[in-house]
Amino acid sequence: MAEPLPERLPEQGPPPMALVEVLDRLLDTGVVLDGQLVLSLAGVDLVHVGLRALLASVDRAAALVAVEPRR
Amino acid sequence: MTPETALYAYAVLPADAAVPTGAPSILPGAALALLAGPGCAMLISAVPRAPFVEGPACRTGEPDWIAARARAHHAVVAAAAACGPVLPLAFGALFSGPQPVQAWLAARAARLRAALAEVAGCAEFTARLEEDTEHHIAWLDAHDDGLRALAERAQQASAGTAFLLGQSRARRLTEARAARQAALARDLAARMESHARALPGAMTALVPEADVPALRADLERIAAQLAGTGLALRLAGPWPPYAFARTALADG
Repeated sequence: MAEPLPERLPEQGPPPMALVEVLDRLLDTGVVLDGQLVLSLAGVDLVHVGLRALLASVDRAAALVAVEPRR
Repeated sequence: MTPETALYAYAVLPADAAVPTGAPSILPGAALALLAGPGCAMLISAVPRAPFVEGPACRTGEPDWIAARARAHHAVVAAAAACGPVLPLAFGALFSGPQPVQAWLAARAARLRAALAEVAGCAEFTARLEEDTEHHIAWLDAHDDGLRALAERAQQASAGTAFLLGQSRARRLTEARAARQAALARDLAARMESHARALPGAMTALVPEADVPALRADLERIAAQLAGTGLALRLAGPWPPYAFARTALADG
């Protein structure tokens, strides 16, 4: 049988956090920009990149903001 | 700005915020700066585009490089959050120049200011239940009358009946594990809600700093009750309001 689990609540803070916790926290959080692309890293969807904002010219980005496309 | 450069955006800050110090930027040598918008500002770094876009210099497929960028993104956001309210952007947000950043801020300025006011003085926490499966099964065997009765009947039954009783016990065990975890999750969510200004996700709470000790004490009581039962409680935080920022601006 496994050893009894600790009674004290494990804490994870204050920062710096473990990298795995940071990656877990950053995944699917934060304000979303328009047209985000999910990049697959080693078979795991890991990183969101604001691709359309990245590629947008000034004029095109302004148009994207004006249109307010679906997320 | 040149076609070879872009602005990496970390977070939206109040208009009077200062550039945080002591944190690395998203790329070595890229300085932090604030780009003013209407009543708020974007925390940015000017960066070369090449590592982020498709092409021979693209590095977004390198796990180590991405992990280092994620750590840097969080370090900057955490440093900013230590100084005042922040709304983190999704990791990897790049703008082609200052005008798109300012247009993005201007298009949702009122909502950004409202969200900044809501996160002021708060930190984000997430509770998680972790199961030690072997130990949890042993605890259920000892505390669930139905499981115990099935085990006792199986011991006295013929081989065929014992097999069927074993199948029945396995189903009941699966249901009991799930039911106990679901009940605890509901209880945890209610406890967190009682201390939270907002609940941006499952068992994730935006908690005023003044209420954090009470939240911890509340959850420590639950953790103590769980000791020895095969379930443990973990509280992750304090975090900048990553989940809250996603939900607060979810529709644009």
